[in-house]
Amino acid sequence: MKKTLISFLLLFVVAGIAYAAENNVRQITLPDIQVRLEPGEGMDKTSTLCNICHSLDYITMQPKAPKAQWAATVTKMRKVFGAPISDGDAETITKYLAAHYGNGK
Amino acid sequence: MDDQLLSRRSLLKGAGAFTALAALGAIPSDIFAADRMARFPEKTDLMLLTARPPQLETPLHFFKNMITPNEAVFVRWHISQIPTSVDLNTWRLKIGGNVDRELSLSMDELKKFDKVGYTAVIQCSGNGRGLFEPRVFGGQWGNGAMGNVTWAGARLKDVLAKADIKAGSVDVSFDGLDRPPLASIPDLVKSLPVDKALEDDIIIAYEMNGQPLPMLNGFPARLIVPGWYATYWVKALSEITVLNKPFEGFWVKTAYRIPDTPCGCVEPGSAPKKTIPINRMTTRSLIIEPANGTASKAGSPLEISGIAFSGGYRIREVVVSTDGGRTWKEARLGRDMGKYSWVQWSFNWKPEGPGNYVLMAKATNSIGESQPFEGLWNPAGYLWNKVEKTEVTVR
Repeated sequence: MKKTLISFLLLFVVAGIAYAAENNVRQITLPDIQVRLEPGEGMDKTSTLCNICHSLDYITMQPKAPKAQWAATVTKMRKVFGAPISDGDAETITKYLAAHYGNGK
Repeated sequence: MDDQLLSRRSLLKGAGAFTALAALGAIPSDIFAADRMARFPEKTDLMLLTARPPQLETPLHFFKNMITPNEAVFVRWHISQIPTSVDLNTWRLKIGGNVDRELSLSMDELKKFDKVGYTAVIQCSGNGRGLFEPRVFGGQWGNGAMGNVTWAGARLKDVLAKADIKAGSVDVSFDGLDRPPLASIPDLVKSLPVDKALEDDIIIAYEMNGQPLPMLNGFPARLIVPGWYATYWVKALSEITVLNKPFEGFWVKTAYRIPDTPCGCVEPGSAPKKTIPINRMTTRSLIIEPANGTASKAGSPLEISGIAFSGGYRIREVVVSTDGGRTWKEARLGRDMGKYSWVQWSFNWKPEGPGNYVLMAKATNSIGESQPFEGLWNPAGYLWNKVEKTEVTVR
C-alpha cells in the first residue's frame, strides 16, 4: 500500500517536471518561403551562392541600381562577410544582377 | 495606383486557395512570396520584405491604436541563424567582462530584480528607407518598421550593479542568441557607452504589452534603449560584457553609422567625411487617417488623425496643413503616455469644397526638434523623418 502510494506520488512529481519543462520551451517553425529570380544567364549561380546566407528577396526588393553598385554589393558580400564566391562567379553574378536588377547604367 | 491595388487584392483573395493547395503539396511554396504578405509564427499577416532572415513590416492601419499589438509589431533580424527554440530551463543571461562578480541569471532570477515598465516607440534605424531619393540599398521599408509598445523588465543598471562593474569600464556589449550562417560573418553584437548603459530607463524586457515576447521579437528578453533606434535593442539577449576598452565589433564600428553632421545628413549621393554610431531617434509625425488616396464627400467633416514621437522628448506640438503646406493649424494632442511613447493627435477638418487636397502633419518636441520638408539624405538610409504628404479627393 505504502509502496503504491510512493510510486503514485513519484509519478506525479515526474509528470509535473515534464509538464513544467515543456511549459518552459518556446518553439516556432519558420515558413518555407522561396523566392524566384528573373530567368537569365547567371541566375543559377546567383540563386545558389546568394541563398547560402539569405533569401533572394534581399535582391529583388532593392531599387534598380547601376552595375557599379551591384558590383560593390557583391564585393561587400565577399570581402566583408566572407561569402565563398570566386572571382569568376562574382563576375557572373554581377553581370546577372546588372542585367536583371539594374537601371541600365 | 488603382491597378496596383486591384492586382494586390485579387492576389490576396487567391492566397487562401493557394494555402490549401500548398498544404497538399500541390504547388511550390514560392507562390506566397508573390503578394509580399506573410504570416509568421505568433505574428499576424505582415508585409514581407525578406524571408530569411525575416524582415516583416507593419501595415499602417495598426497605428490607429495607441498600442501596437504584439502580433503586429515589425520584425527585423540581421543574420540568418535566428533562435526558433528557447528552453527557459537552460537559457541564462550571462554578465561578465570587467566585473567583480560574473552572473548567470535564469529567467526566474531576472524577474527578482525590481520590475519597471513604460510605453516606448520601437523603430528600426532604416524605417522609411524605401522613400529615400536618390534610392539606397538596404531593407526597403515604408513607414511601418515601428510600433508603440508597453515594455516591462529589469533595469540594466540594477543587473550591472549586482555584477559590480569595475572602475575603468568604457563600453558594455550585448549579444543575442542569433548566429551568422558563416563563421566569416560578424555576429550581431551591439554596444553602448557605459554611462549610457547605466541610465535609469534602459531595461532588459521580458514582457511586451503584458505578455512574453514573441520569438520573432526577441523571446525571452531583449534590451530596451528607449528613445534610441532599435538596432541597440538586442533580441534574445544572452550575454552582456563590460569592456575596459572601446567596443570594436562590426555592427557598431562599421555598420549602423550616420554622418557626423548636425542633421546626420550629407549631399545626396555623397559620402560622409566622418561618421558616428546611430543613436537617438529623430522627431516624426505621420497621418494615419485618412489613408493616402482616400476619397470623401464634400460638405462632411473629416477627422485627420495620426501619431507623433521623438527620441526621448515629449511632443510639444503637432501642426496640420490641408493645403499642401501653405497654412498650418494646431492639432489636438491625445493622452500623454510619457516621453518615450508616441502621442496620438487629431484635427477636425471641413473641406471647403470639391477638389484634391494635400494633407501634411509636422511635429515639434520639447527641445524644439522638428521635421524637414525635404528628406534628409545619408548613404545608409537612416533617420527618415520627412513631413509626408497624404493626398485626398473631395467630391
